[in-house]
Amino acid sequence: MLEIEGATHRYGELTALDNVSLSARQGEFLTILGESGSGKTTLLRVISGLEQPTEVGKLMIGGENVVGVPPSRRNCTTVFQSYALFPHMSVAENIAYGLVVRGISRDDARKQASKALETVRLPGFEDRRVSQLSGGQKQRVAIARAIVTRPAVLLLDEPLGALDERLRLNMQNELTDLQRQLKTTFVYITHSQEEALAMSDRIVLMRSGRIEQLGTPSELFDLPTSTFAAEFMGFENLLPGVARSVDGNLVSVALSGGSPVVGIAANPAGISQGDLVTIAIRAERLSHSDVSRKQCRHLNTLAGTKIDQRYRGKYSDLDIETAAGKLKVRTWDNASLPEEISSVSWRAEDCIVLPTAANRKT
Amino acid sequence: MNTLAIDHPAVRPTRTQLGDWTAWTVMAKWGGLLFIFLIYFPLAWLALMSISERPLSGIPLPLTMDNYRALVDDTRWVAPFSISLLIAVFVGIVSAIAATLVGRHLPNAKRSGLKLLLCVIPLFVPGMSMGAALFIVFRAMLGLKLGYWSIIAGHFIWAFPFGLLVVLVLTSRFDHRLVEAAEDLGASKLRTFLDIELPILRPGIVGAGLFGFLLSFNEVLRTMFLRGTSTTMPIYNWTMAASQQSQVPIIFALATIILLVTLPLLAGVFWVLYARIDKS
Repeated sequence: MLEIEGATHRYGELTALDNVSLSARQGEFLTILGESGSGKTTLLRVISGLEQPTEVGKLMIGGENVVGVPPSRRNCTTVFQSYALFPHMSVAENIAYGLVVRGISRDDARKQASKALETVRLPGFEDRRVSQLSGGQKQRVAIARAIVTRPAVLLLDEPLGALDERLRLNMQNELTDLQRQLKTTFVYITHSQEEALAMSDRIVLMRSGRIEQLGTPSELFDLPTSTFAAEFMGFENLLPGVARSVDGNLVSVALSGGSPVVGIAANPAGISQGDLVTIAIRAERLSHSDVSRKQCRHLNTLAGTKIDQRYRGKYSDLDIETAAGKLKVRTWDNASLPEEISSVSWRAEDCIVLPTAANRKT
Repeated sequence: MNTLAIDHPAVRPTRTQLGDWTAWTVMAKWGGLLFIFLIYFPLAWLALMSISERPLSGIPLPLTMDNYRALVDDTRWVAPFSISLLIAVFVGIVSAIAATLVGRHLPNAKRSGLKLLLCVIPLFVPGMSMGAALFIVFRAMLGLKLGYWSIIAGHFIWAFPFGLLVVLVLTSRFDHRLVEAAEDLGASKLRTFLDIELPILRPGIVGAGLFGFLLSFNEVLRTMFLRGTSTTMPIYNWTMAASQQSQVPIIFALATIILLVTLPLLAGVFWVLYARIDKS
């Protein structure tokens, strides 16, 4: 449905998009995840045609080559972050606009607009003014306006960014339902890893105009390939160390302070003995109790003492000082927080070994 | 914990006597009333005097319609009136179009501040200077025969900055993402302009046109230099009022008619344009 090869875009000196290639299948929910300035919006604008890329090898939408084609003739529509609803038109006129400019009669366009309004659960809103709508309703109208022409690819630019949290969670579910119903390819932009994980078939993590990692939500969540990806996906604990041996995807690492641990690497071929590495562990995968997990082949344990404790409602965070550095441990059992802690432990598969950025050759 | 960075003592809110003086509101109210009186009393008095038998005496009574009858009988004012109307309509339309074209591009232009300044400088140039300067170029330097065209040129230079400022109020706030959204939905550049930009900018464009019309219709200073042998309505009124005492009552009547026609018309246009926008 969507194929991009070697897209580069520069604004003057600044390279916003650096040789990006990706593709999306029919009916796929593809999320482009990244911080502001990572190039994700530029990528979306290049796909929609609102930005003509400086260089591009191939750009196909719905099987058509669209290099150099203006946005009005591309088979894709955008749900803008600002909604960009036309303030001088009614809700129905807004939605019908894409149909009217395609030469469909106003009556037919209005009927289809009504159907689209039902699809986004706003029946009966045809004659409202845009200024009378709440943020969530504007969002739905913007989606209805974009899907009513049945594009091959729907582009969504942080559509939930301006909504409050409860509404955002509801809309996440509605969007994925809608996407299954329409079987349209969605390209969804967000800076929220939580949104990306909850909605996507695949996630493209972007950094400085390049693709940092591309994979399924669980691949990105459990097996990041770089320290940047690990930090972005919410790994709280990153500790430096040196690789001692590599065996399959298992890597033995000596942490500073000499403690030996075992972890797994997404790309063990990129790590050789003696390399500086970083290990990444999620706070909730660390255990402060000394109860060993019998089913584990490799259990890493570090001696440590509790230096701080923060109550977070659903959970508590403990700061543990160890010889290798400070670790954050998240515990869901607020009732039985120990006064003293002697060690923390974690499984090898929860310990991701990453090449340290300094000796990455890119 | 860090040592407290803000180490000066608490600063209490202070209160200036003048700043909290409630008499400002009272003064604004009475000042405003005085201002409104200054606008409307002379206009009402003019209308009253136009139906007075001896308008120059200062006493309205006895009333008569003689002045209006004399106005209908005397047809000399019809030609300058028509010419002024035509010139004003033309200047209004040209100002609206020019202000729209420039106003759409100025907010995104490089060094837009400087360009805007250059465009609006005619606002600050005294009419006499501008008229004389144009006269020197058109007549003395280029040796052209002055006439309606030079009046229009002078009026346009005068009206354009006003129109531009009116249009800029809307274009500087115009959300260009709407244009992108329309193109994204499949509209060509022309349709985007007609369907999206034009309706949103319409109040500014019409406002620019109205300003052009009014400024041109009233203009005397520049017209005096640029008219050649042509005569416009304000010039005619002025020469009549200055030379022939007997014509003054007719001028009063004429001024009143113009007032009664234009004021409700303009009020209506403004109401249609702006009252409706506030509602949407």
